[in-house]
Amino acid sequence: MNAPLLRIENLSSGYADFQALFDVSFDLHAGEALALIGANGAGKSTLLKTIVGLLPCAPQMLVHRGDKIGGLSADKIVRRGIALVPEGRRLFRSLSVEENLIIGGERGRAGEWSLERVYALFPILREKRQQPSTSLSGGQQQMVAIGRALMANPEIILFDEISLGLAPAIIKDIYAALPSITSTGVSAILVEQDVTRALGFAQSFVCLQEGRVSLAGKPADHSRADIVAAYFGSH
Amino acid sequence: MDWLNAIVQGVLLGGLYALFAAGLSLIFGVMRLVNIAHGDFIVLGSYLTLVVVQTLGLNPFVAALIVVPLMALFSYVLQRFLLNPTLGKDLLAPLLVTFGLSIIIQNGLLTLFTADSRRVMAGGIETASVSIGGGLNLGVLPLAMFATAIAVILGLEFIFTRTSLGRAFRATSDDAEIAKLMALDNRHIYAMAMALSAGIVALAGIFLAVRTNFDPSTGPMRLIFGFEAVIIGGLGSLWGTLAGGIVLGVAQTLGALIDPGYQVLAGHLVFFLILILRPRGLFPRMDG
Repeated sequence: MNAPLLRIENLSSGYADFQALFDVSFDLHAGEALALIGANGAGKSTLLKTIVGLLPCAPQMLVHRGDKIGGLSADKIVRRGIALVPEGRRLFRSLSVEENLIIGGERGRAGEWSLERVYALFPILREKRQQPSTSLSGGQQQMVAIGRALMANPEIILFDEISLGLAPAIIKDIYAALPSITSTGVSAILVEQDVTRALGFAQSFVCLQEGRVSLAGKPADHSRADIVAAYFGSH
Repeated sequence: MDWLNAIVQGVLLGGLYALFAAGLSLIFGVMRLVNIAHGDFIVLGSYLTLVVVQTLGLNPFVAALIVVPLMALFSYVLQRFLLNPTLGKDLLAPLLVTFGLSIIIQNGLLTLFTADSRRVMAGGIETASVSIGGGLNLGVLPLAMFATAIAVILGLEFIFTRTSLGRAFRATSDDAEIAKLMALDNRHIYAMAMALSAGIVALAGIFLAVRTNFDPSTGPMRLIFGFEAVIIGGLGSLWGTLAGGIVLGVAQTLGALIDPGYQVLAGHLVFFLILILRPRGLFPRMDG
């Protein structure tokens, strides 16, 4: 197999006086979509935040294209092409929809994503582009958050709980847009509460339990019972 | 007639207070930093003007071409290496550090320039006036202060709403953590905000130096006038800052009309009155 695009190696991380991740290791390959699953508090969001540089870790714990990038500041990570769609969307409330998208792109990598392409992916945003981002519905705000991350032309995009708090019909729309993102060769790590949906979208998965990898592989290679056990703990 | 004259003079004085306040408001808006040394920065700008005018023999307004960039550069470095590390969830740390800076600047100026009052001459502009009829005369200097204040606010509004830097300011103010994910370096953005504020401070310092006597202990009172203008106008509103400056300026000139000793007191009383009646100020938060 080719060298991985992103290697996570014995990664430990957490907050000031609380360690949330212990020796987490897995690889993400170019073009791969990987589902990161686990119960609440398993450390999924912490892992995504560590990858994008919002939480510190040792340099060798994250290897991107052969370079040790652990502990680099968030702005340098984005410029390397790793973008996060954060939990809770967190749009800039004093910026319009279009400004949110522009600011996502103006310091990122060069590439094919543009306002036009984001509007083609989510046509409703074109109509709302001059509006304050806070005036949009939850689903539309999620579209802006995804578009904002895409504007940086990432080669790895991290989705944190993109369906949280949204109506089922909206979730369907958003998931319908994901293949057109990953089909361009972008790799993805998807954190999702809805395990069935996540495993349906991803080619591989990693299950975290209390900050450790409890199971990893391809969804087809593991029984439902194994995954449930890895998810909730079998003891 | 006296009353009308006092009101007009007060409005123009409000321009200077708006200049004091705009930089203060900008810094608080972008990084929630209350700069206790703001008034001393203004006085530092006045002394810098004095030095440039004396050594190079320039007109103080030409000296702005040197004083403004120097103050901006000084403040960029100060923010980057001294103030940024104090920023966090706790408002107290930066408050204490800027309080310390205030003491350092005052004592540094005292050592270098003594406690004597200084003044910068601007070749007659300070006493020139134009008549607008009805027995009213407007000083050229107050008019220039007021026009500068409007230009500064228009400029800030343009930067905030139309430029990449302005978007970065707003985004960082909204959510500093997510702003990092936009490849923004907060430390640089904060330092740019401080530099911009210091540019405005430098202009205020030049006007202060030409308009009145100053000495190293003049700063804290300018800080209070700036604060009062910001609070009267409403936090986070640029035009509110001008309105706050004008309200404060008019209150002071009317107070002075009753008795010269009431000038500063009248400003404070109006400030308290507005705090009671409209605690969020006249124009509470619009963006920018």
